[in-house]
Amino acid sequence: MQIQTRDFGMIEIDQEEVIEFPEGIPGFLEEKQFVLLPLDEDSSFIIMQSINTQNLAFITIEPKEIIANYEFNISEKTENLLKIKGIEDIILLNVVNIKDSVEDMTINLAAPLIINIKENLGKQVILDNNKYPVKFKFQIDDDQTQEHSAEEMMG
Amino acid sequence: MLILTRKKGEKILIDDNIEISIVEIKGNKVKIGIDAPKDIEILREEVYRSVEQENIDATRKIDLDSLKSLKKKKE
Repeated sequence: MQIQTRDFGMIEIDQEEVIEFPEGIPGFLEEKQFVLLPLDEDSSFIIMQSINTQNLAFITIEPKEIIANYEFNISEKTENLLKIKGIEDIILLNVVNIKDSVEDMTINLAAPLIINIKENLGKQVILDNNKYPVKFKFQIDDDQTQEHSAEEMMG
Repeated sequence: MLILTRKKGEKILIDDNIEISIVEIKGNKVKIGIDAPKDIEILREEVYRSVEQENIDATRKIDLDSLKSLKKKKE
């Protein structure tokens, strides 16, 4: 199928690439279908593009590219909604916000997108725990030699 | 909207599975305890609103070329 994208013009995608967000996402509850489009082959950024609305797209990034030991519990409700059977089923993405320039980039660590890549189901969960900020400041540093890892826990 | 007045230690029942109790009242702060089934999502309203606003702000179109210098970390 062909879709109109905000950043890449008209593109061809497979029906199997469509990720369903049964509950929509906060601010866009009616938007239930997205596709993940890497910015380019070796980029850290992934564009999450709405299937139905050309101008609705988010820049996202995997938390392991940002911080070490990103940890939270996934509720039973979310596990059921996304049909998660094991940690290997899911990827995490965090929404990137850029106000005027890349220098003021923030990343929403308080509300990760959990995507079951085996079932193509997604949900943005909100971690109401004061541990991770909605606006986590992040600078692109050309010399990123630090070791990063992400650990997620099933709850 | 239903408005109820409660004292410290008093509770409110919603259906037969949600119990809200007033744990502490101190100045303009009220500490509330909520007992509810696991599949009920409970959030402070302003946290939800801030995520909503953050999502809306994040859809603004920017020049993606400025992001291309950040390469994926080697596993």
